[in-house]
Amino acid sequence: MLKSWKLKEIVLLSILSVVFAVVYLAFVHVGNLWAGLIGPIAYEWIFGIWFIVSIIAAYIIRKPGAAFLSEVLAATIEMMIGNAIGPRIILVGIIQGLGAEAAFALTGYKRYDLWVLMLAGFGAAVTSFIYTYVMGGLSALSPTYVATMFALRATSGMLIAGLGGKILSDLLLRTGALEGYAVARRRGAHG
Amino acid sequence: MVEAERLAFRYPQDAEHVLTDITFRLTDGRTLITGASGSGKSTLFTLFNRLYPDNCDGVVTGRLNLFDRSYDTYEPGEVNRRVGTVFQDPDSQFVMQTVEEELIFTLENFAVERGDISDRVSAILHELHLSEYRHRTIQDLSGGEKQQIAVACALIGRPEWLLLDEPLAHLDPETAQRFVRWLDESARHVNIVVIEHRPYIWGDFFDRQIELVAGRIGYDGPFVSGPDHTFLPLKTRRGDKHLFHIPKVNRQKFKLAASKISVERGDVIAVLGRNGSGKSTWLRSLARHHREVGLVPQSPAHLFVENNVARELAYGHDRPIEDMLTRIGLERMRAAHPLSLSHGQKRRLAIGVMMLSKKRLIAFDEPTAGQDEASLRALYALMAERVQAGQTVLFVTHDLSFARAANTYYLMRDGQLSGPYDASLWDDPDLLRSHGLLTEGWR
Amino acid sequence: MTFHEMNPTIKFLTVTCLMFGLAFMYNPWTPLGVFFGTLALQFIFSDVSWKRWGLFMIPFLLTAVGTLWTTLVFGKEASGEVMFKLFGNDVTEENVMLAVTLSLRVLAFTALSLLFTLTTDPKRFVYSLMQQGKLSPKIAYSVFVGFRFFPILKNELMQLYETHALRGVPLETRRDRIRHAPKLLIPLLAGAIRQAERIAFSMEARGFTGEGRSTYEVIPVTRNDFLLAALLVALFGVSVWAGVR
Repeated sequence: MLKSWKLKEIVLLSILSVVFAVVYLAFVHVGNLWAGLIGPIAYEWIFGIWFIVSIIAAYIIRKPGAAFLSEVLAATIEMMIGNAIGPRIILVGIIQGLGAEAAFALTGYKRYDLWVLMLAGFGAAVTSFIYTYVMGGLSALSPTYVATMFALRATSGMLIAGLGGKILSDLLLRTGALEGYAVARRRGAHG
Repeated sequence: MVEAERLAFRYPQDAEHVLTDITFRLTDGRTLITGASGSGKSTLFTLFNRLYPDNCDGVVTGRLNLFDRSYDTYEPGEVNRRVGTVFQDPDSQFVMQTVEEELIFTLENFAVERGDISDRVSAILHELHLSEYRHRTIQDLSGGEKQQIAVACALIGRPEWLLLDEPLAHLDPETAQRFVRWLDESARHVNIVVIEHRPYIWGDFFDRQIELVAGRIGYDGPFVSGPDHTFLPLKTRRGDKHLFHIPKVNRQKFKLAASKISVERGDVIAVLGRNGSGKSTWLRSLARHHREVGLVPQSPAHLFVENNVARELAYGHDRPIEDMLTRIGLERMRAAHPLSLSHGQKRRLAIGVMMLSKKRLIAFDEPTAGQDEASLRALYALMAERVQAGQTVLFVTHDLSFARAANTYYLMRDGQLSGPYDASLWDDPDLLRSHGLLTEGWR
Repeated sequence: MTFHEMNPTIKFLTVTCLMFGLAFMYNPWTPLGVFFGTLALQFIFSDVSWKRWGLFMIPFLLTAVGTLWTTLVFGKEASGEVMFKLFGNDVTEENVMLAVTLSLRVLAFTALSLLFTLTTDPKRFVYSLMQQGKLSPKIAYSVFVGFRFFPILKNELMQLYETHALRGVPLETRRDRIRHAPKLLIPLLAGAIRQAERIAFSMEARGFTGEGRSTYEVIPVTRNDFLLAALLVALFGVSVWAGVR
């Protein structure tokens, strides 16, 4: 998979991951504050933020694996700089990354318009929710409550990660920092 | 090492060539490459060490031989065993945490046997007189020290050639001079090519000089050492006086003493001192405590908070901006993202922002670092225009030739500000030397 | 024989497997056993600062409490005698057991995670992933770059805050600073992306291709690694037995 990758693209993934690892960590604290009061559902409406690096990385680099790898790297770096949930975060990263990656794979890595990005956010929400369902024992909760959780997470994935990721990447494109990456070269061809 | 014949290069998305009709042979010894920003120097370098064309999918035409073989016959990484490179920015050329780990990383790349690695690290550090740095954290080193470590990393692979891309850009003159002397003594068995805007500080280091002009060779011959750029004091229009107090700052590792400066409207003031003397902290403190001071940071981009030029100018007030857009020459860039502007344009935008927010004193932090002569001249003209308009200009610098543009001087050493001095300062070598500002061979 | 010396990849796999296993246990005794057992093993085979451990534990205690009452209030209907009513929801004994199980599970997960985090040097972990886990050096060293980049990023962020304050952006209170944070993301990212390219170039200029490298710091796999892994697995086994008995 890495054969077609330039080193600068992998380092870019890693650096994006650091920036978002910090953002993620900040949101873990936001979530934690709420979680004590209203339970695990506190995380759901902001869950999309944890998928955003996948979408941005895939949108910029446009190569198979970008969505998956960036999410795993972000998780690893998040652990290195101090997320106490430790090894579990890597697992979470792998699972979320797979969900987002699946959306891009579905289009044969050819389309990167808003709908595909939102689909990727949705994909990450689906896989990550399956993980939460199993590990968090959600089968103990009433189906309505579980469905609400999922609806919140999926919406958050599509809006915060999909739409938010696109807005952020397009702004970055305008700063000229992305010259030399696929997103700048293929501008105009695909959204 | 390099043999080029009618070599041309362009980026895939551009029609225009960055390099055109380059024919030369790079022979053993020490070569200087000069040229303005955008003249293709760095591109040429990245062709020497094979970072290009692969990394940018660039288009090469003509002949380019590295060590008597065409460049495209090399495997990735192959040529880098024979060519070491040191880059301009001390903060973005390291991978690991400590000096030792960084050197080990390089030796591992060259597949050096595990048993030999530790000895090789000791040997290079000893050879370069850097043994005490072995276990230091790179992040904690000064800019000059980082550049020395970068040289160690480049030389540990025992290359035949060493390329340095503006290695002094972020160093103060004393540190730069020490670096050059150190390199001169330590790197005796390697051929050296240096890109440099301001060769004077290298003394008679070089044998040969190549000048690039807009992607073509403008000069190729023996090295001619010349003086640094010269700047004359700006004409000032003095007005009423204003006293600024700057309170003390106490940080863990650094103390800035309280100080005051008396500023005449329309004056040009320079605050001089070596890196780490506290000039920038002082300047930030000045700007923080006085609303009428507008700070232009070393990278003006830090100032910008909006997503296009027009909104940036309009931020925080409701005065009209059209006139200002024209005056700073950015009327055609109004919709552009401030971060996508060139360095000179960013500087002009920053000035526009300052003027619209009615700042009396414009304060530049290290405005000359890494700039070529054209950019320095543009800065000089900009300052002249501000002063004529009745504003006061202050800048903090370790650039002694540009400092000549000022009329009033303050000196900074270990957090202590002294002054004011006038131009007679330049005739007091002891004073300058004691502030780390005078280097041998200078003037 | 300590957890600090244990091979990080083996430690990672063991801890992850235990957590997966816990997810399928629906009795309070198994997570309880794993929680205290992990503490005991940590006490015997490591010298972790318990004060640090306690600090890391606090937010997860909150999560555990949140989980407890969410499960009570929003638990699915279960058979059995109603013990009490909570916000209009009938709570049966089965509900209570489930709620206790799930919040104990949060604690057991955290204990296992902390056992890993507090005894693992990130650098050794990445080296080990490269050596035992066949992770591509290109990725591994990019992670190091990212890790090294963290303080640089922090510094950049402080500078942005400072200059923006000078522009008149209101940043007096903590609330102001948090509200302004999204605006800093673009300049921060734009700068970071430009640096990424420079760092990648300097790695390649020093001969890094990701292939044909030698290895200086070898992370060994020893008998002790398997012994410690076996102890953890045994702990899990005993806890499962205690639970289903």
